[in-house]
Amino acid sequence: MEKHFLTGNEAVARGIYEAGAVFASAYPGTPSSEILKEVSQYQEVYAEWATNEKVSLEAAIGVANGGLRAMAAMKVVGLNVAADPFMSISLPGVDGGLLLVVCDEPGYYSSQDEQDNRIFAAFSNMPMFEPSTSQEVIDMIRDAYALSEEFKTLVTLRMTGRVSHSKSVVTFQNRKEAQPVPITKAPKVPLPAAMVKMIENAKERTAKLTELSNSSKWNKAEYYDKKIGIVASGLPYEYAKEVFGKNASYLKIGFSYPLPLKLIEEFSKNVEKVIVIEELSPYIEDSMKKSGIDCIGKEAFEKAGFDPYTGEYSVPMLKKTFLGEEVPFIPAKKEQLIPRPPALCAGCPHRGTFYALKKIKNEYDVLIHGDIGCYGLGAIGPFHAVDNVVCMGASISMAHGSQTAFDRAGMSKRSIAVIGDSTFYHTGINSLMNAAYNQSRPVVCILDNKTTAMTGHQENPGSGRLIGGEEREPFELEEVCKSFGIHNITVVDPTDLEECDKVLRKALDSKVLEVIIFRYPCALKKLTTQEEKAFPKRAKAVVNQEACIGCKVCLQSIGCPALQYDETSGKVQSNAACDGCGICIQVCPVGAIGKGEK
Amino acid sequence: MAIQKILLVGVGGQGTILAAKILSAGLLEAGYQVKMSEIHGMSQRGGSVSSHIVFSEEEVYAPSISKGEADILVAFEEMEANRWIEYLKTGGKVVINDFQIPSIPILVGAFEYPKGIKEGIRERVARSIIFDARKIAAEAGNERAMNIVLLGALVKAMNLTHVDWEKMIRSHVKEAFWDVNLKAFQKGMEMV
Repeated sequence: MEKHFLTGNEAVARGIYEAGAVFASAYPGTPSSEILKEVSQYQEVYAEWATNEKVSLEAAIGVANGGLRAMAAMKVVGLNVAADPFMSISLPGVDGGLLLVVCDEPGYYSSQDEQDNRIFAAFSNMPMFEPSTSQEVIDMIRDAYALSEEFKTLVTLRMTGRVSHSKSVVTFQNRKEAQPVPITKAPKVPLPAAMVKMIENAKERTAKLTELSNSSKWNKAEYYDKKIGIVASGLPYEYAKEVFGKNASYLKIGFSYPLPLKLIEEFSKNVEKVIVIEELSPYIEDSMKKSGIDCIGKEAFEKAGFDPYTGEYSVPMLKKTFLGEEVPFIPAKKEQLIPRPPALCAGCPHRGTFYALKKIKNEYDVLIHGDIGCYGLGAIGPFHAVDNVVCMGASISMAHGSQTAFDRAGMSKRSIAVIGDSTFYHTGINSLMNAAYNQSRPVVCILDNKTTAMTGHQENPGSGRLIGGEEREPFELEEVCKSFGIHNITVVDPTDLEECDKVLRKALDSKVLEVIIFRYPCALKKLTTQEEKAFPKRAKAVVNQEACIGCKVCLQSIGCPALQYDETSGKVQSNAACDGCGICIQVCPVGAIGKGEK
Repeated sequence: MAIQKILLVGVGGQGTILAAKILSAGLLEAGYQVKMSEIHGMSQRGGSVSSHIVFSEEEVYAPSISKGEADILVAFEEMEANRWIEYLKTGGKVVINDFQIPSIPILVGAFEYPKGIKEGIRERVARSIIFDARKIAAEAGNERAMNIVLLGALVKAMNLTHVDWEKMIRSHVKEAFWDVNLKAFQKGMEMV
């Protein structure tokens, strides 16, 4: 049996492959993004990037309703987008195996919210597994599919970012083809007449699942010293084992909805005191307390000076809270702690758009609604060109709302939406349809870099490729917008600052809905054949050291990592990272920057 | 054996991830229990990156390293050494690449690159190993092999020379770069 060293995300792909899944769909989002690309390496499993999480889950439901095994994968807040099919599938259920993988993110490294999706399992009454290691990911997926088919329900595998992105050893097994499940004759349609029966079935299902959870191998007591009994799930279980070793007993919760309360109660009777160790929400703790099982939970961490409702747990955190041991460390020297914030890459086409938007913001009374993607960086220095960001696709709906209200109130304030191409196809497209039909007039800026850059260049309907790398004709944004009856659509090269400025001013003075497509591929994208022709390689910028006056205007206005100030000479120099976008050439006040070699 | 924790930190694009891969593959090959963890959300955009490797002859649990826990910190960039020094265990070792990558706030002239970082760490950490890995990689034939120079130093500092690192390097880098990387690794070991 072959051993491999896999991340949790790689293990998901392996798990569904071994379990005989035939279909997988996802929309990329940290920390879940790598799952689908890994799946695409297994020819037996069809994989596709969906336009959004709702679409991916619905497609997977369709497959399961046809009696075959499917998976949808998404990031923590992706489940909000997919919440409609997720909640709605609970009552009618499915025939074939249906797995949802959702990657929560305690520590919000790349998410706008730390919601604990275990609560979604309880909310929907559908079973949930929580792995701590990559091997558990694979083994739980095998069991999840069997459970899904037996109980005709979606099963969720809930991971956290640290499980997704940490590697541990797994043993591979061969793929076992799943036999198609016969499709139930009664239609699964939640009409009121059928609902009574569905609700009854769901109740019965939950009762049976609760029994199973109490005897599941994934909810397992390990007895050592019985003075302390620890109830834990996911990675906190690993932290607890490292801290307490054999000085405590454990009840590891891997099958976490329905909670095995009977088992927990029995465990609590066998130990002197019970401690619950779980990141984010007090999901296990609250259920225990509600059932009258005495335990120590979040309050212990709070007493030790931590906020246990946010961020990741750690070994030192547990040591301080439960053993009173401080782990000493050498403090960093504050005056030497210069931030290293992420920045738009050298050659990023968004740089030109945000330079132009910042200029507009200084002169016009505008409210700029941003969206989710690399261009979120437009909100920070040196641009400060975005006023608010909420969730995927919200920029256009917000700009529609605010512009409508400003106009009705007789205010002259203008609303601008800034959205990337992938986010536009995700949900922005609905918002634009709404704005167009309801005749509002925000300025909608679509930053078309021809890829889903933020999460690692996944494909989208405008990128010109499918997940396997094969090229296909991309959708054209202009055509999509035109089909909504929008007449004023302008395409502009974001690296042409003068043109960007002109186009933005014209749009702000307009009385109707304006769409501006800022089009240039991401500097890190592997261009398609079509794009290679349309966007040829450009000559790098060179700073004429005699002409440069060291005023730093270029650095301070565009913050490009390919330009740096040289303390010794007092001049700016360009470096190898330059991609030749030419934006610095246009902002230099003394014309000291020119084109060099390609 | 106690669980050993190795923290590699640097800037996106410096090859910390490859170094961590070779390291964990070597430890696995030698029969250790290993876990590894990375945060790489925005690293492609020039942010600070870290790779955590934990190993032991017995079972390992947490895949990540927190403040005060690392037996060794290898900083691929000087400023990152100060940012991550809090993760070093008291009595732990530190390897610092005397190499500077200014961050955007420095590039735009809002800050100067801080002076005296390595000196400050040398004063406070008895077991500090500080050298210019780029220079050594260049001597080995390619300055991009800087990460392998640092890997060599780490292996020596952690007394892990019994592992077949040559084989690991060969299986992780393209054949055309074997010689340069093997030389870089050797030179890195000699720095400790």
